[in-house]
Amino acid sequence: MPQIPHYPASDGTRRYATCSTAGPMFAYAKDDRIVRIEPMRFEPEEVKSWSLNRHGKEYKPPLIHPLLQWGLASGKPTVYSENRVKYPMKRVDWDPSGERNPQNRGISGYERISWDEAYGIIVAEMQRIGESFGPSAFCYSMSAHPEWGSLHFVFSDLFRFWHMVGATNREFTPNSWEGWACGAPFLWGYWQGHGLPPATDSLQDITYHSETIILWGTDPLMHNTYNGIDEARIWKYWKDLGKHIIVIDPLYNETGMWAADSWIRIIPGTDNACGAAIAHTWISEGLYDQDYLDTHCIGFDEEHLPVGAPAGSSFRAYIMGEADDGIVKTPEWAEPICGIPARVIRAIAREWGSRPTSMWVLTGGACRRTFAHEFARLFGTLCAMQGCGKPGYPMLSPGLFLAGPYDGVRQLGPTGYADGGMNVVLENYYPNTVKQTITFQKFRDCIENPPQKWHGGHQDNFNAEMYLETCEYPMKGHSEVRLLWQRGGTLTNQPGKMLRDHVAYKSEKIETFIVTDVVFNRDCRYADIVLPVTTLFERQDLTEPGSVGQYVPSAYVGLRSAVFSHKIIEPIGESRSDLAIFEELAERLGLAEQFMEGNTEDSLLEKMYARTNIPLSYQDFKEKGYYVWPALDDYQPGRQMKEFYEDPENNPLDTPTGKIEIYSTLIAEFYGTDNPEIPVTPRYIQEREGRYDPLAQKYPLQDLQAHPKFRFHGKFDDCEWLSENYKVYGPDGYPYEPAYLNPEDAKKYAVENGDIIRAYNDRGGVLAGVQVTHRVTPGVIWLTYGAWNDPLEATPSMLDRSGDINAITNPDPMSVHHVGGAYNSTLVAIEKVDLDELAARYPEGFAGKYSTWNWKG
Amino acid sequence: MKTILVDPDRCMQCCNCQNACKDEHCDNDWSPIALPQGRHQFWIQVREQEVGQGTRMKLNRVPVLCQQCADAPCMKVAGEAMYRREEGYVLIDPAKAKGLKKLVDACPYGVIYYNDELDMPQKCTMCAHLLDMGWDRPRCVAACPADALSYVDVDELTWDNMYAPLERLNPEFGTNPQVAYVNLPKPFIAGAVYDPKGDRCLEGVKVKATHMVTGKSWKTRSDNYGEFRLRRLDPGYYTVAFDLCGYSYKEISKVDARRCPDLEDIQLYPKAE
Repeated sequence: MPQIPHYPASDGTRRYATCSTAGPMFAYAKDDRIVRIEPMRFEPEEVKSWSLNRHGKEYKPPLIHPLLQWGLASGKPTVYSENRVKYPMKRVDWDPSGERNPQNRGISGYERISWDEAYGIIVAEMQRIGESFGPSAFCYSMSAHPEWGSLHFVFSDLFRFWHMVGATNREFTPNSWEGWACGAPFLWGYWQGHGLPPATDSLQDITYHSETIILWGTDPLMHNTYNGIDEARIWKYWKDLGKHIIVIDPLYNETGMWAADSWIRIIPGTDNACGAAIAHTWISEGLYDQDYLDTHCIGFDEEHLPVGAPAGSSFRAYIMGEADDGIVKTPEWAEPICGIPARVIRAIAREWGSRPTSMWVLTGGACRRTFAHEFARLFGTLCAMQGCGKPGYPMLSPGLFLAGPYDGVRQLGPTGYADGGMNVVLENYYPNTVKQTITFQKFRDCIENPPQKWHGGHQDNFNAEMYLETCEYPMKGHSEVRLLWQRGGTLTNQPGKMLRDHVAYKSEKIETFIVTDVVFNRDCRYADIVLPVTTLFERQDLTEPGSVGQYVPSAYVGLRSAVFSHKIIEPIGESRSDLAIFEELAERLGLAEQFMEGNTEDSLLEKMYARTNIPLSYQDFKEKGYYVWPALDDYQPGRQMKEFYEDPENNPLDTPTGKIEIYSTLIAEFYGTDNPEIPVTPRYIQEREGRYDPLAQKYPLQDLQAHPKFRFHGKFDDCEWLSENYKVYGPDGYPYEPAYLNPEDAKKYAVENGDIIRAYNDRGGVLAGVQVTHRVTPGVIWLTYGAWNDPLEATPSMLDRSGDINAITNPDPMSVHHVGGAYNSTLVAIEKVDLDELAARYPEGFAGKYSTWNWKG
Repeated sequence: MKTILVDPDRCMQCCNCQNACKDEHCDNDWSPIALPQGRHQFWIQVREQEVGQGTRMKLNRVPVLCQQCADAPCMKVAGEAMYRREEGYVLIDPAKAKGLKKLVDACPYGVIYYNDELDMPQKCTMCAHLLDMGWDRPRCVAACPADALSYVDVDELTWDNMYAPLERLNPEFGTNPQVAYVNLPKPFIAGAVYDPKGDRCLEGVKVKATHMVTGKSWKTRSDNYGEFRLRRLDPGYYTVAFDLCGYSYKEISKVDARRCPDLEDIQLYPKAE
């Protein structure tokens, strides 16, 4: 018998702690190289766990906290990716002291330059532009989801630097929940959460009180923002407890397939027709809470309209056919619109109206369409008809809304992601000296056709009125922007019709365009200078998993923990943290003391740590890498809108009347009482570029942009470990983005699994690989955003090989009320393509000349 | 024997098992246990198949890895290039496996891959190098977010502690696989019942499927949407009967369960007064 081989007792690695957008993890390294990454795990003896107990069944969070789908791929494949930006680079034909060739952005290649040269150019440009035009000619912006971090986060170093210098903010609208953001504050306030009421202790409320869970266009397991599949065991637990779970969605989404008892297909953009019919059933059958509406709301019925409101403008009048349109919103009326049989609409209404129901309706794809503020207002109204704040009726968003029993007072952790970072602990805070902003929806218009005027469009709003505030560009006393600094290269594939921005980037008015990023892609390809940034494995930080600072206290259903992100390896190439880049720039601009106040990365982290009440010294915490909070024995759960529910007079909402304004007094005041695009009480409005738009004759498929399962928006598109699981590899070996179609449509358009198609409309086209599935409602194509753009010709979006649908999605305003956010209202046609013919027609494109990750040109 | 227990009912195809495997084995040399895993290999892979139709379709997702067969066909052709460890795991010895392409074809589960660069076959090692280092489970198991994979001692599984009967993947291959499964996909029949006269979803309808050969039957009741699902059926043809007080009895014959059919909207008419 030969000797059986065995491995030695140790592999010589050292274990470090860190946290990513996918969750907390351990990383093992040896000889300055990452060997493995695994989900963070706690030892049983170091944990005092919380638990849920209901009907004799217990739920405890796992000792190994699951990572999201890209967690393991965020390690070696990303850190050592050939797409990493390793050195400062300059576009070959951009000469700051000569010809700038802006027309070649997106076409020319890049050359390596030294850090000294890069800083030299940037400082010279800032001084030249600053002296002639003032700081408003600088413009900074960021991609929405950078690497996980607290000190290393946009609101920390990026904001501090540019607010200190002063710069125009190119801001994005709250595009994760656009319709709620611009609609719901008029209904119930909650502007802090962009219109979303915080779902305090919803985990407990649902477990102990809800009997039904309705997922309305939401997919909690795969919405893929900081949490998701870590809730999988909880959904099985709820199912075990007998909660009835239904999903109403054009897509049989992952949570639906995981836990739902029924999937009800709805035609995209018709939610309000179905919602109005639900209200009709409730009113007809007395299945709603009239007392609550009388005491907590205005505008439900004619008796509770504010003074001066026209007769017939109540919600009840609209539903019962007593408003100006004269239509009774019966289920029979809604059936042909939304595609759900009237009997099923009644069944939904009867279930929701008679059992404590948790509505997962906040955010979701239905709120990113034309007139989506009406979706938010109408579904918020439906929730009010059942009594917002009543036990067992929490309203949730798929992400960031479930949290374990965490006490924000007695358990003071570090701020997580999306908080102020260094600004919270430094002596001086600098409000931006420049008041001018550009909402990214108007970027091209502002560059090409100033002056421009719009209202709203802010990223952060401090009251509902800010959505109505007029913005001008250039603002009085301000300059047009000339120097653009962008953190992260994925901004312009987030909004619709990226051609807008890509054309703007080629404007000679943008004299200098700097992008800092970890990997070279998309916007990097339009930059004049690209600066290499470290991954989270290459610098230190201090965070709390799943905690997204200012937006919600914690989005975490695991054992609550705090994590020190160790610097696990030396920076790859010459990459530096954004903080280090700003530190050096500040130094060269003579602002070093103002920027860092004498601190280092480590001393800032120590100060941030001092604000917690974790019972470990900073050094001990740093060494160990994490801390797990023991569960509190006397934790008292709260509830969403509990105080308002119990005593509305003493706990008014942040609306003009302090009540839920089903009839919005602000909208009546600003738009009048008869604006067809934003009525005083919410209505079903047939969407533009929807199924019933005449354009559907030409472009018959509604594009659905449910989040990609194996990407974090656009991140990790280049990771083969992930793309092997979903991309459609063409006969040419290229990984095409999948386009999911119902078998009926596949038959109608004569395409089969694996066929490469062109999806197109008047805005351009993209290629994709067909996947036939019953998961998608007929008439809908699920072709989502986030692939790295790979234009086949010099003008992007005309034909994009990678299949990022945002090349051709709808960039138009949602309505007169809101500048953007209608991208899900996008129609396309499809046709099968001949790849050989295309390859012959676009030899340069097929060779990757315009690929946005191609820095060689 | 300690082995992996797979529950496809708890698989979301998040592929964390695949990625944990790649994280551990790609670019890492764990000699003498294994050399670095080649590209496009899946020592564990979630295999997906869509069944059923309409709103009652289902994605069957089955994680498949080396089954650690007791009568391993690969070992029979490998000569000295394979060995069985003390725990019973079957491993390829990279020092002796050069050129042995026939191992790939020998495996009926399709879980042995050929690495052209290294010129040798490769497969799952149960993370034996980690077990040797004292780790308590393979990487794929630790990465699973929902207990679709667990690391168990099958000898300790009994009727008392099992939530479903123990199964093996494709026992018909005759290799005596040692990886354990529960809840492997089975045929189902689904649909919805309604009253076309009152346009009402019919709740509480007794739905019974009877196998047309064996006579074995499965029963359920429709829910408030009139929906029913008869799960975990034997393959074959069924007679499906619908019974609700006050409504005419209805029967549908020759329903082929292998297609996991969606009977869509079954109409039941109220009995005449």
